[in-house]
Amino acid sequence: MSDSQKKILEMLAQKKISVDEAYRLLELLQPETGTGAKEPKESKEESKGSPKYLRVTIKSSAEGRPDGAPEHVNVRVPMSLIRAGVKLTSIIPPHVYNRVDEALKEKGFEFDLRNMKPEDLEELVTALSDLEVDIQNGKASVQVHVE
Amino acid sequence: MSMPPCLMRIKIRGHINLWIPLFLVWLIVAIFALVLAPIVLILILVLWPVEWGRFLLMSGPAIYRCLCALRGLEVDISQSEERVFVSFR
Repeated sequence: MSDSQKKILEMLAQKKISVDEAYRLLELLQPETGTGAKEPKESKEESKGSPKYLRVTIKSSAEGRPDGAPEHVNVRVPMSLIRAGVKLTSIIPPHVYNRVDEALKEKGFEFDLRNMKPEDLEELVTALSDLEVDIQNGKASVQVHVE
Repeated sequence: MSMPPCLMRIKIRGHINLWIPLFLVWLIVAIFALVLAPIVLILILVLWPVEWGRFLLMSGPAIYRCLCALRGLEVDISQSEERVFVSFR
């Protein structure tokens, strides 16, 4: 029995998850379980999945630009900077939150800054590991991906 | 424990190529912070009832976290012969 399976059964015994959830998790693990030799590869793949940088590349050719000069923009943003930025919201005084919420609502954003939690961001960052945006037309291309 | 970036590289147009030793800047900032620490502590105590004291107390670690997170940031913008490149290492 693998460590992941044991953890799921422990969580079920502690009633942290329901029987259905445990069953679904075990099903997901099924193709990956096998001999012990596979586990280090599994953890390596998990650690590889956590993105470190967000890369945005914009290239536009000379035609279609008013000055006729090609432009290249290449920005690499560390994910840790995005995490640190989200954590900054936790130090905002409460009366400032209300003003920010009002300003967002005026623009049509029904979004409460207090609901933004670092755990949610971690989930989003992990999900971003497969993000790839590639938009091209004849004059410009925009690429966004994580690395 | 993560550290703030030690070097900043700025390239402008290909003519200006600067390597700025940020670790010296952090040293100077740390000395200023130590000198101003008693004043900041008094300000925190005075402003604590109006919530700004907590903000002042938490802002130090938050700014430090943001500075540490700058490591690896790269911005490279070029247009014909004009080029600006900024990198934190």
